Amino acid sequence: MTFDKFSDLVDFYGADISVWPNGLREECSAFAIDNTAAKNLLNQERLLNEVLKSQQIPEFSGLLTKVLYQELPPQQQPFLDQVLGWLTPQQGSHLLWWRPALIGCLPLLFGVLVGNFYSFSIRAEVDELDYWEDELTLLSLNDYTENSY
Amino acid sequence: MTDEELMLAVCDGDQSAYQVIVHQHLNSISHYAFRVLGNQKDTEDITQETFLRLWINAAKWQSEKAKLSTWLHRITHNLCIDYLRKHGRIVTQESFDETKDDHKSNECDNEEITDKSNIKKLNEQIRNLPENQRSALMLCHYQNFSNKEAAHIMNISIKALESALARAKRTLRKAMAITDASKIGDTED
Repeated sequence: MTFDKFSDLVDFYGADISVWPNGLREECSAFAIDNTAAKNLLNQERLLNEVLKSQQIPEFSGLLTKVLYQELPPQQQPFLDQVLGWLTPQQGSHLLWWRPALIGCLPLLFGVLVGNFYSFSIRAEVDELDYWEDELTLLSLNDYTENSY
Repeated sequence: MTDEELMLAVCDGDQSAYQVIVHQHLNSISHYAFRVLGNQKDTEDITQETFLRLWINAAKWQSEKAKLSTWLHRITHNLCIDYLRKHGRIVTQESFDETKDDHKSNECDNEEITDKSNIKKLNEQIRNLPENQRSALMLCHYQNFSNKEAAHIMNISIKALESALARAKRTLRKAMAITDASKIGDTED
């Protein structure tokens, strides 16, 4: 047992060696008896505990009443409840049929967006390219030289 | 009623359940806030705000993740930290330095404890501890939370909490040793 190790144990388990784990109790008690620094450390730890205990907390008179009767704002609902509440409103529901309809359209919008950005290895046949190549070939066959005489 | 039942009732907007929770936890919450902040007015504001947040965010509490007291202390801790960061370290109240007048003990070591200037210096040292060390000390020493719970409240690892706790204790013990040494020096003179 070294003083540093003993100091760590005091930090962890406190000043009362009798409540330390069984395996450590005997060895540490013997160390504390023989070692003056360890003895001082235990005394300081005990003193510290007493000082900490001696701290006074004032009376918070009136705090209970303040907390109990403070104005309570509306509670925050979980996200799912908020979504469901928005989808199925309690009032004026006959006018708000578009909300479920809008939600129903979301998969469609999603499909459009995905389809717009990804081809998924599907190649569309492009006829335009062949058409323009033919067109250029025909144009190149024409004689455009001007007959000056 | 269990914490779960009370919180379910609070989620349903039951104010009487809210009042039961306030009665159960007001003391520990206000005491913790006072120990971190050190003055009565701010403590009252933070305590009120803590219970207001409990009411608003009742649905967010998950019983499997943390006990209600742990969750409430976490809210208080975060509010205190925000407050201290915003306003600096305002820990100025005489009652924080005061000790119980009726504090008497038969042990010979406790003669030193009754030395008020000694205690005052130590209280000053506690106030001067970094915010995380002070919170760790208060949660483990006064609020009787386990290291795991205290670490959860402070949103740090258990290792970090243990380290903060050890550093706080070492600082205070060092301060005590200096006070004792100066005392011995004074008597020798």
